[in-house]
Amino acid sequence: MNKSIILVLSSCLSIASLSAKDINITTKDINKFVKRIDLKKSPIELNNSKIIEIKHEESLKGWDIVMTSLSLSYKDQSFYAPEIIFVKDGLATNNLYDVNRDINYRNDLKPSVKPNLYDNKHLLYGDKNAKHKILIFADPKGKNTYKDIKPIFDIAKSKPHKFAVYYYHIINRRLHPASKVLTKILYVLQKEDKKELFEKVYTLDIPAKANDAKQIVDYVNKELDLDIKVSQIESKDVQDGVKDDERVASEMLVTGSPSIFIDGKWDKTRDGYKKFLK
Amino acid sequence: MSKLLNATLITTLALSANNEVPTKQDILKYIKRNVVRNPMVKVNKLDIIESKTDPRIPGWNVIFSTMNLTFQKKEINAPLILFSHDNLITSELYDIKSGKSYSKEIKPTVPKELYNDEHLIMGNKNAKHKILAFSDPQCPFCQDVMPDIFKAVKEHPDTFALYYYHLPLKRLHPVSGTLTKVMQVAQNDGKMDMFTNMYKLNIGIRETNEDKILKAIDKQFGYKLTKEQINDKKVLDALAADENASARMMVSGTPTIYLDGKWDRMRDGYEKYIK
Repeated sequence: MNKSIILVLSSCLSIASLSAKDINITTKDINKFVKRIDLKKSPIELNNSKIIEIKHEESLKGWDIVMTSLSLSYKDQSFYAPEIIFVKDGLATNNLYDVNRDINYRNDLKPSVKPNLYDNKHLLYGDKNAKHKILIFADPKGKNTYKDIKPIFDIAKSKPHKFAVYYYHIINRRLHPASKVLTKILYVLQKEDKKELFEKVYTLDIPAKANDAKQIVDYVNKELDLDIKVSQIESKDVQDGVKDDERVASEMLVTGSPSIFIDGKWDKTRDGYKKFLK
Repeated sequence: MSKLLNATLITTLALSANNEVPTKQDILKYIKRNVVRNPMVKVNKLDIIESKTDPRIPGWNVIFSTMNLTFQKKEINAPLILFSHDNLITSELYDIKSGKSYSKEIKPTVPKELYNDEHLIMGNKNAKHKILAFSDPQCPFCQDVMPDIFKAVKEHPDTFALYYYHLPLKRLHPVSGTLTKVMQVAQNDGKMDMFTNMYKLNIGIRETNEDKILKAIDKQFGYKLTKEQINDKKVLDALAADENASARMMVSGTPTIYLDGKWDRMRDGYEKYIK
């Protein structure tokens, strides 16, 4: 068969596949996928899902990359978790590995940062009109978290017109139960504008597995000369604040601490700020 | 365009749509990066069982493999199904419209060698239809399905040949570890009534004491066996070979039934051949 016939036919196939590609995925489809694939045989229940963004990548031609945030429940706890679903020609998967590039797109893509995330409530250091905006999602007990974010805090403190740091709380409940309490303490300190103490919480010697709220609060009070009450950190305002940060983290597909975004882009190496120091 | 040319073109296109299967090295890289991420688990080797295409997912290759892993000094063989397309590999392909997961839908082809005399427990080997069963005598679904299949094959030996592989789900029904040994001995001795009786045995599924189990079998069915008999090397080797056959077919649940080489998801496909 001559090459021209193959070419014509393959063009026809491309056109056909383009029109077939035009599928719309709904939250109903996402829910079905999550229940059947992600949560199969899991005691975790799906409350609902939200499509955050549908992206397209040059290296994933024809694929819709559907970024979602899931609202989940387990026993009496409710929480958020991100999920990314790749869709093409009516087929969906939650992981796609590129042999040539040696990357799993699941771990390599994040949604765009929406401007409303840069709000005064989350501005920790620097000037809100600074040249570069750094968004940090952190768990105070995350391994290497303080090591990675301390230099960012430092540059924002020393160059406030160049760097603004916006801080969001995340908690790895399974690995760091202590963070359930510490993030609430951090929330209170941030709200009361006690930034110098905020950072000190990171340096306290509190085991990640500590679980007793009163013990943790007492220890923080003693070490930092504070008078925070357990009732204060358990107030609705604080709980809702931390929960909302977790919702935002899920919507940003954040899965690890710290996760850093510089000027709207995910900084995978967590030291992208260095290039702006010159 | 002539019909012949059309057919040739379609064949050529179908062939060109088949992507190259990733190399074993690429698959290993995928496994190490995405499947076995626990540093305590060592990936020793990967056996590719089969690579095939499926008309429901055009352009994709389906790769059936077994990973040989070591975890806490224990060697484990774990099945893995992957899908590849061009330079992409994934472990899941889900049909949005039908809600079907192709990792559950597509099964390896039954190799001819599984239809052998050692596993032919009922029916005539030249029967019209071949049934291949992977089963556990104390699994409730097996107890529901298998006695009907035994009955159908016994009554229609020229219609059905039943090839049976032991797949005791020891984690769920520890007792089946011993019962399958008893079944293997019964099969070797041609005592097929005792073989099928194990589906009816009244015993706790978590029982592991072989003395107690053998005593219960003797009491309920008058079949007397010793621990030495059921732990004979030949018996254990046969069961190990059955386990390997299950791994080869990526079977992990029971009962899994194939009818004439095709997975019979509903496990009652044979009924249509009984007039």
